[in-house]
Amino acid sequence: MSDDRFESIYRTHYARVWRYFRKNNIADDEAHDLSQDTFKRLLERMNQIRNDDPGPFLSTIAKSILLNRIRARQTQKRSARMVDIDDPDLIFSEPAAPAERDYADRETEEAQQRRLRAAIESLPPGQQEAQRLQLEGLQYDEVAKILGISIDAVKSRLRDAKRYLREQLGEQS
Amino acid sequence: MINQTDWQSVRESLIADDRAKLGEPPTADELLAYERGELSSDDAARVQQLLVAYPELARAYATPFPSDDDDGDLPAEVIDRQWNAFRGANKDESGARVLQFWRGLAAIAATVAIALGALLWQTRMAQLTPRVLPDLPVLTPDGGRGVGHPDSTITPSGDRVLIVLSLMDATDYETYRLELIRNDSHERIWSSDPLPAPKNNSFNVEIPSRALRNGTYQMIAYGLRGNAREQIATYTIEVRGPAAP
Repeated sequence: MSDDRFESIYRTHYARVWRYFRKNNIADDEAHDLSQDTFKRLLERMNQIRNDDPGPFLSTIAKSILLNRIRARQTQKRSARMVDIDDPDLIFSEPAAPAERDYADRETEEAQQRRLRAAIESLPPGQQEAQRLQLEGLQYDEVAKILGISIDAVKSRLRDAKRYLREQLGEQS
Repeated sequence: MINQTDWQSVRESLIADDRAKLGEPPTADELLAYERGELSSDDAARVQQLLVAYPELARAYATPFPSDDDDGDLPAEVIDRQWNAFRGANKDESGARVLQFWRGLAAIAATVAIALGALLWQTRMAQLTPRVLPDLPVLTPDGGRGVGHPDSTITPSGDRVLIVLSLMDATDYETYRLELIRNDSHERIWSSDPLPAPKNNSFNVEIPSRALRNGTYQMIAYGLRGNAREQIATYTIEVRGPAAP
């Protein structure tokens, strides 16, 4: 594998890789860093590519780097230091207390949320997953990819889920 | 009426409970295997549940890699700058790798040189040091003492076996030829060139130990005169010992 060929691949595909990270809400500087990491890994595997199209390799490497980064952040959050209610560190990050609400309002709100949660949890698993992913703002095609089903199946599951939730929650939904 | 805050609150509580129940998010390798359909149905179901519990990961998983024709909006100078930075960072690393390779090679070469030097020194010392040979088996022709005589049994030790073949008085031939034959297979292992008559009525024969397996051999001596060949003596050799596998 010549340096010239690698340079040509780098220049041809760099923007594509960078744009992939940007589409995933990665800040510009970090998107460049992750793109460099992607090409570094590609360079290490150039002997596997030979004369093949490097696109699929780049796609797999970039995805792996992105997913690892997000996973690492999620894991960090899960293992974040626990602070006691009396911990002095807590004082500086403690948000301002919300405006005091009426006890009856809070009761009503909590009851609503319990009913909503119970209704969602009683959905069949496939419908529940589709419904929850749509709540996250994912499009039909994205939900379809995550669940490994067709877009039509996603639409069907969502239609059934919404009908069920309306029945369960009545006019309130 | 259920409002957006209710939905948001329920969403967050479902995610928190799922994460507590299901544990860590799936690894990148698991997700790529899931994408390729390589997971068992149980594992695939678990990954699906985890993706619902970790929507940030689900979003990244579902985002397609830009296609070829989806050309970038990065100016050429940005790509130039990134390429120069990349080349600079990886040139150092590749230089270090090359240096490491040559250092490794030099270490191997030095080790080989020391080993060869030691071997050479040992060989040279062996050449300069006198050696006392063990008692040499002196074989007499069959019929003289009979097959199976203790003197006809040899146990190879070392690289070579030295035997002495006594010709008795059969020394009136122009030249001689010796042949070594394995008895069980009748395989001729060795045949000598014509040999001049020995002055002390015997031939000293050195046989590589590796040529001798356990078993019975015959060394045959022929006397040659012109084109005529006459079998003048047969020596039976019993080979026994660890060096003959």
